[in-house]
This record gives sequence, C-alpha cells and structure tokens, in this order.
Amino acid sequence: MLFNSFQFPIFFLVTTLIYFRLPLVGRWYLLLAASCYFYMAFIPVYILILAFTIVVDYLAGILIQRSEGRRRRFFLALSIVGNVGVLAIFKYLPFINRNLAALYAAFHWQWPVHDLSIVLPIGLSFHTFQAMAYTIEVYRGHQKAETNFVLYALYVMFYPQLVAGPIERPQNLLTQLRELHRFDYERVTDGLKLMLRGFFKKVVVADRLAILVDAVYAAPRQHHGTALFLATVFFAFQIYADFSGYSDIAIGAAQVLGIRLMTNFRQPYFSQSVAEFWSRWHISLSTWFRDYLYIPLGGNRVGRMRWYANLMVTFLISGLWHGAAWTYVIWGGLNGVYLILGVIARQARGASSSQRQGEDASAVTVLVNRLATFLVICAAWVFFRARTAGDAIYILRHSVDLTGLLRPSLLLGPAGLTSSRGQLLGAFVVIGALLVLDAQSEKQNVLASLRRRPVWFRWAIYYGFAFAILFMGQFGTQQFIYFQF
Amino acid sequence: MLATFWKKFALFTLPLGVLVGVPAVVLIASGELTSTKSVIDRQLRGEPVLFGPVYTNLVKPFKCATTQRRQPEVIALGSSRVMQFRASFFDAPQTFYNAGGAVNTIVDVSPFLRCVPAASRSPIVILALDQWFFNPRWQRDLGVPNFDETMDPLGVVQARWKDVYTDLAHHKISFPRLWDAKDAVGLNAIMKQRGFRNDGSYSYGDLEHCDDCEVDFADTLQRIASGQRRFEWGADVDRLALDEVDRVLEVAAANNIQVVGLLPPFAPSVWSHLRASDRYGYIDALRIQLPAVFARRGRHLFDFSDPDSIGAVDAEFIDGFHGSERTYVRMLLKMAAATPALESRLSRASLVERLARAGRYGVPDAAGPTAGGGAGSR
Repeated sequence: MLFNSFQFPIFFLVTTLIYFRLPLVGRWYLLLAASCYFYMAFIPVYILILAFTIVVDYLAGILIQRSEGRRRRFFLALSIVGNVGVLAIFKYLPFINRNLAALYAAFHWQWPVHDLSIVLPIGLSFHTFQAMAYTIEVYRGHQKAETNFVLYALYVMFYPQLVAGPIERPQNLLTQLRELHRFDYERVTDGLKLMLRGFFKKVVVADRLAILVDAVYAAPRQHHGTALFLATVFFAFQIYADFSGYSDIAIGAAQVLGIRLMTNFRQPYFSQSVAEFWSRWHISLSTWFRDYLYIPLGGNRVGRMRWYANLMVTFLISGLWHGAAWTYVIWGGLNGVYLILGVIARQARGASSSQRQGEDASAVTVLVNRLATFLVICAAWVFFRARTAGDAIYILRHSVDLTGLLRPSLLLGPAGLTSSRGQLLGAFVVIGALLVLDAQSEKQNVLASLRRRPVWFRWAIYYGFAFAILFMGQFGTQQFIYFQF
Repeated sequence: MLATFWKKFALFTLPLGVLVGVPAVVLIASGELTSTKSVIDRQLRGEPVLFGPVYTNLVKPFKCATTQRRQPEVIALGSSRVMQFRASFFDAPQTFYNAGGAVNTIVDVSPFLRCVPAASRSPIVILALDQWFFNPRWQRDLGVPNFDETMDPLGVVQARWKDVYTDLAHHKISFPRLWDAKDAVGLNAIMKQRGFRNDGSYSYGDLEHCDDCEVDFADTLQRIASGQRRFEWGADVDRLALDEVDRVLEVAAANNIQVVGLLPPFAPSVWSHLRASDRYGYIDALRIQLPAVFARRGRHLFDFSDPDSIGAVDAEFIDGFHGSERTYVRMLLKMAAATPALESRLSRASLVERLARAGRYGVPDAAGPTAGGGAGSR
C-alpha cells in the first residue's frame, strides 16, 4: 500500500482507532496483521520471502545467544548468508546474469542463460538490513535474542517503516514495541503534523518535479544543456522530497502509535561538505554501513591507504545497495572519491585550522561551501538517475552550457524542460517552499515553535498544507523512489 | 484527552472530507466506480445497459472478460473503427460480440486472442487494422496491454476528484439525471447516451443534435495538414508491424480462429485529401503488402480504405475516419459475399432491406424503426 494513496489514511485511521483500545499483546497482533495487509497490498506472494527471512533470523538470534565460540559465528554467518542470499537472488541475479552475458559476448561466446525477469520485492533491501542489524547486535551481545516470535516478526515488519525505512536497530524498536504507549495528545498531534509535512513533500514537491525530470532524463540527447542542468538540480530536490517525505510519514505514523523511529534526514542540502552531507542524508543507512561494514573493516584506525580503501569499499557497496546497475556503483564510487578527497584536503589544511574555519566561517563562506557541496552531490546524482552511464556522461558534459538561463525560449521549448511556463514556475515555487521548510527546521524545533503560536495561526498552517496537498498534489500512481531499493 | 483529540480531528478533517466527498458521491452515483464485472453480469442477464464511463478506461479488460463469458462465435476486433458492427446485423444476435476498443495498436491483438475462449467453436474474428498501425512514425507506445486490470475505486477518486469539479463547473453533470439513470452506467452514458451496448457496439448518442461532433471533417483535415494525431506523414510501411500481423495470423490458426481482416474506410472527402497528398506513401504500400501477408496465411483482407469500394458517402460518416452503421452494414455484406462462414450467419435480403430504411447513421433492427442517432436498441 502506498502512503500517498487514499487507502492509506483509511487504513491508518482504522488501525490506530483499534490500537489504542487493545492491551499490549493485542497491539502486537494487530500491528503484525496490519503490517501483513500493508505489505500484501503490493504483491501478496512476496510476503513468503519476508516470512523466510523472519524465521531464519528469529532462530539464528536464539541459537547465537545459546551458543559459544565458533558456533555463534556459524549461526551469524547463516543469518547473513540467508539475508544476503535472498537479496542476491531477487535483486542481483539478473544484474550478474546480464554482466556475464556481456562478458561472454565480448569473447564472442554464447552465454546460455536468457535475461532473467525477476520482480524485486518491495523494500527488500530495507528489511533484510534491519534483520541483519538484529542478528549482528545479538552476536555482539548488545541485544538479547527475542524469544517472542510475534514481537520479532513485528520488529521486521512494523508497517510504517517496512518498505523504505528508517532502518531501525533492535535496541530502539524492539524495546519500544514491548512498552504500552498510552494516548498522548502532544505526541499524537506532532506525529500527524509530521505526516502532513511528509505528504506535502511527496505529492506536491517530489511528484511535481518528477514530471519535468522524467521527461528530460528519458531522452537527454534531445535537450539543451541548461535543461539538463536544471533537470539534475530538480532531481536532487525530487529525491530528497520523495525520500524524506516518506521518512516523515513513517516517523509520524509510528509516533502516533507511540514509537519513536530514528531521524533519517537533517536538512542535507545545508551541508558544507560531502562528509557532512552523509551525516545528514539517509542517516539510518549511513550509520548501518558505518557500524556493520566500515568500522569492522577497520574504519579510520588503520593506515592511510587502508582507510581510503575502507571508505571506497563502503561507498561502492552502498551504491550497489541502492540498485543493481553500474550507474549506482559509479554513484557510490564517486561519493567515496569525494570523501577521500575531503579527508586529504582536511589533512593538508590541518584538522584544527579546519575546525576553526568552520566555527568562524562568514555567511558568504557558508553559502559558497553549501553551493559547492550541492553541486558535487548533483554531479553524482546524474549517475543515480540516468538510464545508462553513457547518458550520465553526456548529461555531465553538456550541463555546463548554461546559455539557456539567459534565453528562456531555450527552456520553454521542445529542447527545454517543458513547454508550460506555469509548470516551470511551479517547480521553482515548490523547491522554494521545501527550502523554507528546511531553513526553519535548521534554526529551531518547528513543531515546538508551532505549539507556541495561536490556534488560528496553527490551523491556517495545517489547512495550508492540506489544501496544497489536495489541489497541487500529483495524484497518480507515483511510487516512492526508494521502494525500488 | 482522547475525546478532545477526536473532536478536533473530526472538525479539522470535515471540510476536507466534504471537499473530496462530493465528487466521490458523483462518481458512485454515476456508476463510474461500478466494477466491470457487475456491468457484464447485468448485460449477460439481458438487462439493457449502456456502459460509458468518463474517468476510467477499462475497455480492454471489459471487452476481454465479456468475450470470455459470452463465448461469441463472431467477434469484431479492433479500435473504435470497428465498434459500429451490431449484433442485430446477424441472424442469431447472441452469437456476435463487438470487442472494438480492445485493440489500440497491432501489438494488442495477439494478447487479446487469449481472451477468446477455447470453448467457442471455430470463432470468426473480424479484425479491423487501422492504417496508422503500420506507420512507423505514429508513436503509440502504450507498453504491455493489460487485459486483467481491475478498478481501484479509491484510486479513481484520488486521481479524478478535481476533474469532477471542473465538469460540474462546465455543466457537464446534472444531478437529477444522475439519480434517474437506471440503464446507463458512467457519466458518458448518463449525460450523452454514449457507451458500449450489450453487444459491445458503441452508441454515439444523438448524432443529429450533437454539439461536440466534427463538422465538415475540419478536425480530421487539420490533422492531415499538420501530420499529427494518427495522421502522421509516412512513406514506408512498418516492417515490424507487418511481421506482427503474420504472428497474429499464426497464433489464430493455431487456436482454430478464423480471421477476416479489413482496412476500415475514411470519409470520401478525407480519402480524396489523403490521395491528393504525397505524404502518405505508407498507405499505398500497405494496400499492396498487407493483403499479401494475409494471403500467405490463406486469409483474406478486405480493403475498405477507399469509401467508393462500398459506395459510402460523406453524410453517413460520424467523423473523418469513423463510418456509421450504414457504412458497416455495407462492409459486412461485401465481406460475407466472399466469406461463406459469415454469409451463413446473416440474412442478406433483410440487411439490404434495412439498409434501405436506414437513417443517416443508424440501421434499424429487423422490425424496428429507423434509428437516426445510432443509439438504437441495447
């Protein structure tokens, strides 16, 4: 079920109404049943894959806790092989097969396996990573194995974050699921406000920008350089609004039920460096890779070259996590290169002076840093969004031609972004609205500050968002971008 | 605290609920959200139902499911340019079904043939192939046709509620008529008597008093002048499309389906413009190459591109490329003369007599009055 469908508010309302009338154990069953229904609204049969990984990891957790020495390691390996194996089959097998076929073709040999058409189960990468976080934490002794199967299944399947995160840790989610959360007016209304913001970001900002971005990226060679540049900038905001919108809805929905999910985005486009960007973007995934891959590889407590290699490996795998295509690997690699260059530059300047610089930076320096960071992140997004690496390189090479900014006719024609002036203006307006929202969040706790305002002001704001969603929202069948991961 | 919350929540959502609720009521009352299955159930029970939704397009699954359940012996298949064949043209009307609209490109045909039930004994498929199906410059990439699609009523409300307000503002929807509609499902059927009859043919409503119909083929001639909207200029025939026809004929033969092909007619004025233009070389080439494809598979293609071939006149055309029932009776008579399996299913003398009594567009039922507007019986 899509968050941005009319079914979801009804589903959410009914589930929440029943939820607050049930005792704790009843709530587990209700939420598990609701999560199954939510997931099966996509492709019902794929719930069997979830069931498989849940059973494997549930048993693995118990066996890891009961075992010692090499047996613990064996059961952990079993869990990881189970999860990665499912990912490999459903997400990476067609990719591997295509590459083998291409390799054979290069030698004029015939690869015997035809193109595999496997539909990727929704949210597979998210729930397998969440499941692996559980068994790794049990193995490390940071989390007791969960013996209640329903509760463990709910940890993996909790519907607000089932298909696109945030990727939770057992210490946070399992603990909260065990508690009876009473109705708390402030918490519930804050959750609803977060959801409202999420819907706004998704259907007003992301889906509106998607129309322009899709048209240009479908046929980049038919568009002027300025259109390519702007489409990439629009995509940067589209993917941010799309994914952070999803996270807002997920976090808000969970908050209504009394569960605090981890923050997933903190105004990433206000970052002054790529390293800072990655501490603000998709935080639940970045910290997952940090805790379960980068640090076990040695992190930065190794020799310099090894450190760089650790960064690169982490980002290449992160790229592959985002999609089974070389464009994603390049995107990950590019971000790895950015970070390594950042480290080298910082070392060249000296860490202390860099810190001092950050603290004393003038508004102009901050703005320049933010713009520069945004532009290099955009350059990487080109590989993320383009259909092929060839398209991406073409877009990057031609995006430097910004003459269209001086000649609007180039932007509003067949080779431009759109033929509709209103559509182009609308795109800038929604990006502006998104930046204002983020600027407010950067300065203060928006929800807390809103609570201090008079009722008429608050309700005007809420209705403003609601009407914007209803009247300006693009209601079609646009899925959230991150569902494909 | 909980009660206060629900009160405030209800107060906040009430205006939003009303805003979306009014269009939802219109959509429900008009039958726009009625499932195709329930429409088919009613039609198969013999209730005359005109099915003409505006906000959804489930023609493909509707025609496919009806074909599967009716098990017709003669099926008209194609785009809107085949929808004028009526069950009443045949001696046993219940043996005919018009699946017009199920096919929008040549690649739709083969998947549709899977809708033809194996239980039907050697069905005849009258397959109309629009000329532009074979123009490589006609871009109509609709992806894989979905004949199993079902309606998501909430999704329709979500996607279309604003359109309902627009149509209300333009007085396209009348509430009293919504409540009175009994044998019409969908706003097109209720407000304009346009939609699919029980036999699958299309009712165009009152063509004599139509305020949105084409006058003097102006729109079609504009398309020809600008080379747009199905009338893209093209010199050569799309080889892939011809190959697809060959594949369709192969699949049909393997499933014991007899295909009778036709190229539908243009209005005489439009045809003369097409002939005078040197920008439609693909049509000339098609008229030579397509019959050869059919002939290789032992099938016949009737080329009605030239309206003179059936003696059609401008006045009987609904627009530049849609003939009326009069036109299609003539086509059927001509096809039947060369196809014994069709000839045995109709009374030639009766059809000729009815054609003589026909109005401008419609052909009366065997004992019925002249149906001027073409709505006729359902």
